[in-house]
Amino acid sequence: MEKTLASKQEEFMELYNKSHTRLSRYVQSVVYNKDDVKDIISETLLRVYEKFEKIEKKESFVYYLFKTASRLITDLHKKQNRFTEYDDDILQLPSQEINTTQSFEVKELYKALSRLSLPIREAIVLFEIEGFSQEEICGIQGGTISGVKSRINRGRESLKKILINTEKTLISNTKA
Amino acid sequence: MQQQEESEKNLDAYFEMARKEPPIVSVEEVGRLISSVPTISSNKSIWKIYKYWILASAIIIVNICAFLLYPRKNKTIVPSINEAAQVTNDILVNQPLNKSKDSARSNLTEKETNLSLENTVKKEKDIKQETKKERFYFQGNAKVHFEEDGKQIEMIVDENFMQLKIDGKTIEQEAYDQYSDIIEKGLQMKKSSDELSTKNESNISSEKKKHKQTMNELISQLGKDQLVDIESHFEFRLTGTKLYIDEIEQSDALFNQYKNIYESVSGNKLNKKSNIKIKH
Repeated sequence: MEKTLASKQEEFMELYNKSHTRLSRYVQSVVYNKDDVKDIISETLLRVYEKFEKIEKKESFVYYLFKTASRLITDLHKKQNRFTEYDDDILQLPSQEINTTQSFEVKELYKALSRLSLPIREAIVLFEIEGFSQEEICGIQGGTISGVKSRINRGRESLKKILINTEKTLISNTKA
Repeated sequence: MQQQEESEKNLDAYFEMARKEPPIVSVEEVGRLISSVPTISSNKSIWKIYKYWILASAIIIVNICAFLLYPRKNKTIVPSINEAAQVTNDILVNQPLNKSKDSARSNLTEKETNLSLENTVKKEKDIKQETKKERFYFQGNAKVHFEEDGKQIEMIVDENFMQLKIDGKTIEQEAYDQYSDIIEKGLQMKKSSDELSTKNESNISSEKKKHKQTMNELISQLGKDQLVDIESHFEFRLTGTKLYIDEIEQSDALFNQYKNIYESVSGNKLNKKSNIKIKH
């Protein structure tokens, strides 16, 4: 019994290790509270681990992981009604402490992303940062491929506008 | 156009940076979490396996507790045997024997509802005295109980008068002349009950006769029309709209013919829900 449990854990962790960075980056790009990020990742893991034996194709493990995380994020979003906008004080990523030169661009991107609606934000993060295909995002988020396409396009357009505005304000601030 | 391209490139650069962002939760933390899972999952699996048993036993326990602890209010509402006897007695005596058992029961329920807690004790005492006054039994030889001038009278009556008891003492036949009034009253009671029973019997027998007559009429007509062989087995079914012989639907003309026969002989009219069956 113990052996089987240990082997199950090993197998699970082996698979999870491969996608840990992606999952963590996805969650922290959508949720901007450190505690919430931790909660969602751990809850996702527990849920996937419980049903790990039922996953027939181990190749689909990653999508299963992201799908579960996406649902949890949606639930959290419903509970909180809306996410708080990105704030330096709220999101204290360890990278900030370790790497002081944490790219100014990443912060700006998170700020811009935080102003988008959740489905659009998720689609953008999954497509642009995590590198999932539109079909895969469709599987994770649900809906149709055309819906995913339009979400990505709209997201990109809105991000461009937001980032241009922030750049303009920064330039004007430095001049002043 | 150029500006748009630039902004596209900028955005891609932002995404490129974000792709290099390290995770905030380390794999070790997650590993620790997973190692604590087996206990949780084993608890959950126990719940999954036994949840129906646990729920069923909980429901049973709750029901038993409710049954034991819940105050049974009905105890006070349901009358005692003496009260019930009193009520039936009243019906038999005051509405002289021309009411059926159903009406007696309905009167009983009415009385049940009217009973108040305050008067139950007082009533029981009164009832004990009154129940001994007059009571009738109609099984076999009729036994008649009643009270006359404070004396408890008991008579066993058959076609001919048989026995008389006053306050539990058997009176000899020679002394019956002295109690002619009492005997007369007892016999009168017996007579009235007999009349009622014979009336019921005659009603029932006349219905039976009519029923039999209808059946015979229908069967003989079926024989005449050569629809069935009267000597052998067959099934006849007449509903409000159709006629079936051996579960085969017959023509409307035949249906109307047999409908008329049934209605004229039995005196009852067929309706949509009617279903008259004859198994021969």
